[in-house]
Amino acid sequence: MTIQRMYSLPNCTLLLEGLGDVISVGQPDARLPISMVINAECRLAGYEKPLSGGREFLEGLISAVSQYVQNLLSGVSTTRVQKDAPQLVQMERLSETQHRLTVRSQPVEGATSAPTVTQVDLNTVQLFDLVEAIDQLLADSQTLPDLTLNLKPVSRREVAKPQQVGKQLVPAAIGVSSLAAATVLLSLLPIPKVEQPKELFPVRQQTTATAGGSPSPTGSPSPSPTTSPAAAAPSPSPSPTASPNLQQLEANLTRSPEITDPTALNTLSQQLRDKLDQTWSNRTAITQDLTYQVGVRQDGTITGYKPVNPVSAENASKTPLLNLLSTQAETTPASIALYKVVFTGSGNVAVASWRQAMTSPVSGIAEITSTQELEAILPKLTSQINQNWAATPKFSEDLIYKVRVRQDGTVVDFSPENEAAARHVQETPLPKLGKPIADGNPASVQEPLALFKVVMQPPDGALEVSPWRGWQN
Amino acid sequence: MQLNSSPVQPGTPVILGSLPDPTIADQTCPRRATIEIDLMLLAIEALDLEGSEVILQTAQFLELDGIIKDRVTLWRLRNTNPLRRHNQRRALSLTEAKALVVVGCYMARRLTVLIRQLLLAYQQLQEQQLSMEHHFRLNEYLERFRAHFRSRMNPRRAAVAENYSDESLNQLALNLLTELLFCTGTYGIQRFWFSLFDGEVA
Repeated sequence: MTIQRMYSLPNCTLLLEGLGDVISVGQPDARLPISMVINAECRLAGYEKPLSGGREFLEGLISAVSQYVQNLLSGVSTTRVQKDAPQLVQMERLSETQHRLTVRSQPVEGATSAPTVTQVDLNTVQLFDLVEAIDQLLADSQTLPDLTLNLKPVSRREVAKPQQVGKQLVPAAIGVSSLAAATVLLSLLPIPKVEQPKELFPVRQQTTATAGGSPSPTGSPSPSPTTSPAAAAPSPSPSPTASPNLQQLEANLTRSPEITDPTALNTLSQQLRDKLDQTWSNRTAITQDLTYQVGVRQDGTITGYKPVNPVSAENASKTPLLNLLSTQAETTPASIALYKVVFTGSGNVAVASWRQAMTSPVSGIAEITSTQELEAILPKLTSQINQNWAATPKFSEDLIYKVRVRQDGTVVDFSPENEAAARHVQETPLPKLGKPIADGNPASVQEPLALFKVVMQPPDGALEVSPWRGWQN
Repeated sequence: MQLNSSPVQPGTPVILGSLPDPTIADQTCPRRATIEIDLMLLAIEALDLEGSEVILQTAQFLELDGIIKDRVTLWRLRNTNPLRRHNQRRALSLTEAKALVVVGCYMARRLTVLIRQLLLAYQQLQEQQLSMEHHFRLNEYLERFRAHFRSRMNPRRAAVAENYSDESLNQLALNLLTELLFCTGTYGIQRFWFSLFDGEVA
């Protein structure tokens, strides 16, 4: 007699068909334990075709998912799973919210066709439902009583070494040290003397300049970027630590195409952080947070930076940024990644992707963050609110609202940010200008928006409007 | 698996019997475990305004008030977290840790619906490439978590200072939200408990 058991959750249904080994007489209603699996089927929301297989598939699914969740919870990855022979089921992390389940079909003896591979991407809640279905099965003593929750903390031996970090660090270290070596060697070279032309023959003058101006870089031990003729060419300040042209550095940031690949961004961000951390020697010199926008090329070299506020500009020399700048003249605009780098007064370095830090999306709908644009929108918003007061307001506390505004100054929506603001919203002009943000579900818009903080003060509703994230400069 | 076979010591509440003692040297919680447990409760407090009060009520309800006696005891237990401003410099015993884990997971289970909603919202915002501020309830949780974290953790600790920016605290809060979801399941308590000792046992 086949027995079916189903474990059903919103995003996942686990269906088991099997045979019981006890033949119960006179107890037709009793739940017989399934002791043998004929078929196990896992249906996931959004996927037409269920994943299915026999006992081997079921056990593979349980162990892969279970181990994956433990890694997710502890953040400690393990070598345990990889040791076992070919895995039918594997789990892999795609992003913070996406998890990939890969299922290989069981190889059939004598079959010539390659085993099929099914991939299913789950979000965190779907993954949880899958885990929960499995846990309910494990907890059910009437279904496969021999399968139980088999958890064991990962032992020290089994912790997977974070090899990736090492792999990334070595080339970065080589890069930094060869740059340093080249810098030392180059500083030994005499500053090329430009002979004063004795006769005013323009043609002759040019030839002397080029002859004296190209010291051979063969002494350098490595093909470091600084050995390129451009860097070695005679210049008024050949030392790489000389004060840089700020405008040039800023231009580097805007001229080049941007790197947006998240994994590349992540890797570069780690490299940048490590590099800054290692080279920042005089940490006590700064007393307050210094913030910069920093551009980094694919190979990790810093191509430019831009102080975010005047304090950061004044104190730039106290940070390691200057020393790390690539001195190579940009011949072709290589793509760069932009980071927000903060040197904190307490002696720490924080690196975050510039786009993430500004929380504007990578593409599509952008948030308006530039000071210029915000300055242009602000008066439009202020005058609209001022013109639309219907009656004398009666509130007695400050009302604070968050308002989303289009480029042309029209209000898209708003949300009250304090309790009084919610109570008195009908007395303000805001409902006339835009709609309230429905609980947590802002209307999606296809154009850039600016976020403003609007404060109305009693008694007559005096306005204070400022950008939600403050002025950048 | 010794889930049911672990001997219940006399005087230990029965409910803690489902959590076996891991094989660690001095039978006290490793550093990472004390941090994880405290942060998990911090996330619950950011979800539930009356969180700290409910922790005590839940402890009483689960008959764990022998271990989590009152507000002061709870404060001392949570301040075994080395990142706290008022770190107690004493170890968290395994029994105390179990009690906190059981209470935390029990509270997480009551917040299941909210936790699922917030995680779905987080995923949708990510897909639409919008910032977290666009979802009122999620933003509220993140703001409260950041405020709790900053007011209670010692910024002179490297692990705290590195995570002091809004972005990294948001990420931490979202990771904790995921952890809380997995705590709500049938074996959520066991899964969370075992994860605390990953990489710590011989």
